[in-house]
Amino acid sequence: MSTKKQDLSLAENEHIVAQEDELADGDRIVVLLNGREVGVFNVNGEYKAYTNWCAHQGGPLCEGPVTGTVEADFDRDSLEVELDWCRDGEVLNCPWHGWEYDITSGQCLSDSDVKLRSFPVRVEQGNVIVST
Amino acid sequence: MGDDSPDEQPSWWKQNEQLRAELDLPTYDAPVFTDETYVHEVVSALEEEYRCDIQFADPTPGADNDWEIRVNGRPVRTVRRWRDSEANTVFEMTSQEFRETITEVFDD
Repeated sequence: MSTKKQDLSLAENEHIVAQEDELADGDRIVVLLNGREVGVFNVNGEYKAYTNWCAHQGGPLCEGPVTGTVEADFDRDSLEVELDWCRDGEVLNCPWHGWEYDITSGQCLSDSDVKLRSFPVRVEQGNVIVST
Repeated sequence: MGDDSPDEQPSWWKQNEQLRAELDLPTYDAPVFTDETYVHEVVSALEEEYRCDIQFADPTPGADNDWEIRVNGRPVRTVRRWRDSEANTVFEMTSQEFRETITEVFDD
């Protein structure tokens, strides 16, 4: 009896993580692949996959809330700070210490040198496949 | 935890070590069961024995820490998962319990 992985002739580093209908827009799943947890997100119809280790202290980032963020604009004349809520649904927050990441790119919002390791995702015959 | 020497470690182990080092995170160790047996060792053996695909997945991340054990894509039971002090993964069952879980799937 062949497995689904064999039926699709997947390479060693390719993994079926879900069926397409399991991951609607806004949904996510975290799976264990090759000894590391990987979070797979459906963001506006596009799949994104990231390692489930926050760059801060290794927290389970991909399990945190998806929110927006606050951007601050300082007016030098009035010396006032204007706060705007923006990017709703695009910011992933680590549940351990609140580090924020752009879910569309993996970029850390508070440290421009930090970006999450991402993995290619494709769909074949209704299977969502991640390459590690 | 576990007793994988460098020569016996799978190829992805070094990649994970490097990734953790790049992020300046605590030393990587592969996911284990509560009896400190490496998950990948038991999974590989059972996949070969039963010619199946076994996967651990959390379909509701953030809701709780209950993961699913999936055999050929089908959930067969849930298991709690937590992170130890080094941010490494532990599944809250013994390797024996896990073996019994998989065996029961194919004995039914």
